[in-house]
Amino acid sequence: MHMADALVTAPVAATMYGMSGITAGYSVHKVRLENNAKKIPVMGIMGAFVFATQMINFTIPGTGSSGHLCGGMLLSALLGPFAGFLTMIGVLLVQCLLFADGGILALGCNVWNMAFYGCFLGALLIWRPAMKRGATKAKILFASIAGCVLTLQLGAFSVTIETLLSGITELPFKTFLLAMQPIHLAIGLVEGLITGAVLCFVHEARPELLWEVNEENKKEGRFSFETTMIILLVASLVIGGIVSLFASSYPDGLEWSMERITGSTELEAAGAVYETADSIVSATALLPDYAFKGTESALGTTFSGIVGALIVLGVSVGVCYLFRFFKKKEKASN
Amino acid sequence: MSHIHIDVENVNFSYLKDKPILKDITFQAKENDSIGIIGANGVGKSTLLKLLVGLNADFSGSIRVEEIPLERKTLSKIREKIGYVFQDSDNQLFMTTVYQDVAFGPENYGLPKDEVEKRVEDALNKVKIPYLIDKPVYQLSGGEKKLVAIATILSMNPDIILMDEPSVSLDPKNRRNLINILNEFDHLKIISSHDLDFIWDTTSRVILMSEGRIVADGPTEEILRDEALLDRYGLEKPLSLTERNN
Amino acid sequence: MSKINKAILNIENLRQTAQKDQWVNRIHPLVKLFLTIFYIAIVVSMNKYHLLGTLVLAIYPVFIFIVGEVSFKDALRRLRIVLPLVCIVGILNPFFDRTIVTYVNLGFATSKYPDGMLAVSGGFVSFFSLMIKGVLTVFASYLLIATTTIEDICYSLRKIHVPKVIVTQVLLIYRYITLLLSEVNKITQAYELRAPGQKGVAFKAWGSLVGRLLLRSMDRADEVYESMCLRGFKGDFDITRQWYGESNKNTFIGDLSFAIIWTGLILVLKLVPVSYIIGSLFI
Repeated sequence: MHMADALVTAPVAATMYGMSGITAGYSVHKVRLENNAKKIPVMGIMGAFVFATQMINFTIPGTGSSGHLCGGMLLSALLGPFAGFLTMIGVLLVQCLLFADGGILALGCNVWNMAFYGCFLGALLIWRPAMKRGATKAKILFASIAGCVLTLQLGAFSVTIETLLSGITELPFKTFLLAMQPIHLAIGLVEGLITGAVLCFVHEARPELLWEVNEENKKEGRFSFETTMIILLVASLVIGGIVSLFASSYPDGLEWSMERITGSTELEAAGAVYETADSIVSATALLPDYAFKGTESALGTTFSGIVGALIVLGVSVGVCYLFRFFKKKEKASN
Repeated sequence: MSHIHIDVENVNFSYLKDKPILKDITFQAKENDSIGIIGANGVGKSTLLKLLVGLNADFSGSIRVEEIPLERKTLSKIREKIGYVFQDSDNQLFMTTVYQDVAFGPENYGLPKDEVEKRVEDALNKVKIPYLIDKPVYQLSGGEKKLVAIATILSMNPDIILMDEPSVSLDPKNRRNLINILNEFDHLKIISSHDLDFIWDTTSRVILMSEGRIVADGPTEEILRDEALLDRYGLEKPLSLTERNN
Repeated sequence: MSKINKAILNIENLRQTAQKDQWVNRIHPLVKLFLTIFYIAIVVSMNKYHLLGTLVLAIYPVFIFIVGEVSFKDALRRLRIVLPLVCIVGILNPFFDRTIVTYVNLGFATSKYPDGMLAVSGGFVSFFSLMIKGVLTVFASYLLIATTTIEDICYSLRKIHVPKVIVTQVLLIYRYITLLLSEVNKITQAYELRAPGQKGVAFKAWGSLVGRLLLRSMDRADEVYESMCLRGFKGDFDITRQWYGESNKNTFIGDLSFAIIWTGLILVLKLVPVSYIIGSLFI
């Protein structure tokens, strides 16, 4: 599920950084409003907890394989969506730096694909309504499974979209989607079960630790606007998903749906999103590539290119060793 | 009477209404006192210590630290005077380097930068580990962590030190080292432990607790030698004393 | 469960390499963070058919590997996670993209290739360039973390005004990660000892095994918070400091020129077909 840097292009990465960044900014604001200094160490340690427990293998009954814990859902069930989201950012950043799980450039995508859906949709759309009239074991289990399945489905869908928009794979949209969604349905079920089991234990031992449980719906009014917004967002995502699924049963998949929606087959020209992405491209470091010498002058250029590449690399290795030699000398003379 | 003292009068405390943890606790602690709080597991030793720095609210009775009554609004004043060393040093050391951790308190109390640096150096010198100043906390051994944890409170120049089970998981050398350092601190210190040898080496007065009550309060010499008393409350005479008798 | 032990060792190793007192390690973390992200952005935005151009970009990681004396072996180990993933995404490219983009002179003729020219399809080229991108991007971020400590990265994140709450999170997660990993290790080892032959944790223990650790961690968080309060904690960590000075022989000007030179060099490699120009000088 963690996307690698090589699977995104800079405009996609920048867009996702932007979206995750805005959500993070809003969450920081929300957490500050709570004005509860105790949240800070709890978030940090629960982040480390999620990081560590994701390394435990849980045997799935009846199969030889194993599953893991779903961090986003667990954290928001304990800390609420905003603090949970911020904690997940920390977890994902540390994972990418220490274990190369996901890349630095793709961090924005990963935060969105894993933390956003899990913390906001899972917590606000499923967890909170389910806990409204008090928590029971069955409800917790149901909410965890539903939340994890939703999170992973949307996450996998986003991975597909991000990879395709980045133009990394030649796979047709439908094939890619069909490969991604069912696998993640299974993973979602398992992660939901594990997460649910843990939350049930917490409910039995220390129910006061769970978010929005036994809180007598006191925040109803304040959240209604957000809930509406989120329902709208989900609705648009679902509709978008159905439309594109429907569309992809036609020969040209994504392009067909793009054509239907915008009247153009050119992906880059499809609507405001792409214009924004385009302007980001030209505004940031994404300079036009120099043309690749294609078939016409094939032989000579290719060969000289290979020779040139080898020379460049060879010379740079030499220069680097020289550089190190002089640096060391400098250090010794100091 | 010197200005450093704690007065605890008729203190009762409970987390849940029907299960009192502390019952009618009364004692006085004066400057230069070094008090050991002993008792079996779960008699309320740690709860009592936490009460003194206001970590457990909602008690009844009165606690006064240097004549300041312990209340919500006096908390920060009182916490400036008292240093509390947790049983698990890892919970006390949450910053990344030794310097940052020892400087955390003085910085939060708004001391100027050079004063903070001086405090950190002094504190580390007192526990004899100045060479650890730039080390990351996670690279420290258990004994070093305990000493750094003590340094983090010494850097705030406390009048009073409270310690919860300081000798747990220390090897003999670190333990001896800790005993020496504690004996050099000449203000009021209160140490809770069921390691009676450690109490024997570091304190002059002992408060024995059982089921939330103080059942004995007297000189360490007297109480730790009273085998019958200790036995009644689930404790054993310090090993060092037993060996001496043999 | 040796996986966890390995992870702990891995973190410890990174700490030690990042703490070395070396020129690359002393460069201002903001410079390295910027260069890394810029470099990765350039690498991923290379044309997918532009295999050689992408390959030449390797000089940046090569430079840091050699000058920073970073272990190449550890970097290769990191590829194990990323390359299979990239490979799965790209492996079908040769089947879908069959446009011929170039020919390779085999030097001999066969019945299949009468003129001795092997046609190379766009799918193959894009697949290999994707793999190279995978390698280079992983190397670049590895080199960042191998020459910069997490605290320094957090310091640079504060410099670019990433909110304190997030930076504090990262610091705390990093501080408690090894501790919790070893607790997980102890728990799972104890479990394994009493459940021989099981590969993982069985269904009926899912909740209680992790749940107990969760409650313990919550208690730990409580105590950490108490310890913070006792020392006047008001909600944030202050990690500002002086980067250049006695303990750091690097200078602002030096680090700045390092940033400028490499930004320029990477740009040149992106904009100019260096490999072809230099190659044609010799042929």
